Amino acid sequence: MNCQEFDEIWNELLDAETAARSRDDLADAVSRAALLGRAEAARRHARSCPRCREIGARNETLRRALQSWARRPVVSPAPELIDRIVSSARRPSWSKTPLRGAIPLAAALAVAASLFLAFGPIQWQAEHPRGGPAAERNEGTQGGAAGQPVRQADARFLSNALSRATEATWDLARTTSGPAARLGRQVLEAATQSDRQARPTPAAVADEESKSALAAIPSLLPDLPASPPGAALLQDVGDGLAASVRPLSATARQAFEFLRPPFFGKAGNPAASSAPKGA
Amino acid sequence: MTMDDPGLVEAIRAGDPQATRLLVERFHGIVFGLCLRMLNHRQDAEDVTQETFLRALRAIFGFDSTRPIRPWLLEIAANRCRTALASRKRRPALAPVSAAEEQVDPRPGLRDPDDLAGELTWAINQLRPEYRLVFLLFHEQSLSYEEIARSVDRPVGTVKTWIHRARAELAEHLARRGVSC
Repeated sequence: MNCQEFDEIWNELLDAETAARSRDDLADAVSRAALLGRAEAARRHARSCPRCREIGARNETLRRALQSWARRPVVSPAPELIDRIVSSARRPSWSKTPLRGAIPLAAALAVAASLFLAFGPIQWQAEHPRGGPAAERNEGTQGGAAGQPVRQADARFLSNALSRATEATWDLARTTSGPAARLGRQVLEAATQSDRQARPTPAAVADEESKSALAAIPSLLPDLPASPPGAALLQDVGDGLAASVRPLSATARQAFEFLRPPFFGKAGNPAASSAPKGA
Repeated sequence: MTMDDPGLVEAIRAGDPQATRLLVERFHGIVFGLCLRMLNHRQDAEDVTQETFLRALRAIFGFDSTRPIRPWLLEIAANRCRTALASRKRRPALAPVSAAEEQVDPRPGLRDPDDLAGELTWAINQLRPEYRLVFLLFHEQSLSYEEIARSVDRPVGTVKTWIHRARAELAEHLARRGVSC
């Protein structure tokens, strides 16, 4: 006998013992006798094989443990399990799933639905803000409403801030570009008028401060050579820009930067040669 | 009401509600015991037991009534237990509600070297699921190798190998624990 046969005999012994426990009738006598003979041969092999001696000892312990285990008290199910199974068998097939798994799923779906209903309108309002004043008027009525989340107030605040910023930007643009726009229009009008005087009339100037500045300049003009109509106006505007005459803003100054003396100092420009010093 | 297996199957097919209750009463303990050993959780075992019987009742018309009912029910229960164990792996581990619910064997002295049955129960719970299933079907439910092979959808040779390996692991575990006779 070898070690592999030794292991096989032990498995047959354990099989037979389990089978004998489960049967009411006696096991086949011939089979039992044959098995007992092989078991004896296995014991003789274990006496001379240390490995099989140890395996044999372990298997003997396992056999005793299996016998003890088979005699242990049986854990019974709850008495109401029978009624639960029978009643569920009578229900429609779609409702026969264990409730334990359906309840968490239903709870999760309820939470998802409530979140959607709560934040869906808020997201819509954030993407489509209402008018600033109307929103501010309504804020008082809506504020403090039961159940309004904090995000709704934040969205309203953001839209109001955005509308105020837009309004301020337009105001700034109007403030800075108005005088520049008027001045530009007057320059164009003077350039197109053929019978205009060389010296600018008070009406060609945008505001009072510009008029006074330009009025001081004319004393120098008699020394200047004759210039085409409109060119004097341009000259005065350029002088005003160079002197940083108020109330021209930085925007206007930047818009008419081309009229400053360095422009007139360029070669080929007849007006540049007649520009007074310091202009 | 006493009825053999073929008669019970025919009565269920005929729609006899008493036959359904009789089926459950006769086999629910066996099915629950297997589920409890496999899942080691009482509530899960009850759920799987219920599911086993519901599936059996739905498939009763396709069942060969000449076969015994018990191996067929255990086959369904084995499949349900495997499914439950697989879904349990995918779920995050939750703390048990109470230690009493999780404890399968409340006998004192568990893991006591002098308590052979308790030590073996603990060792069986340490086996991998497929080894544990075939071991229980053979040593606890006394199914044959062929019946077990049909239950787990494996060849008979594979079932024998699994059972032999399970025994070897159990014997080694008992030896490591210092259990000897």
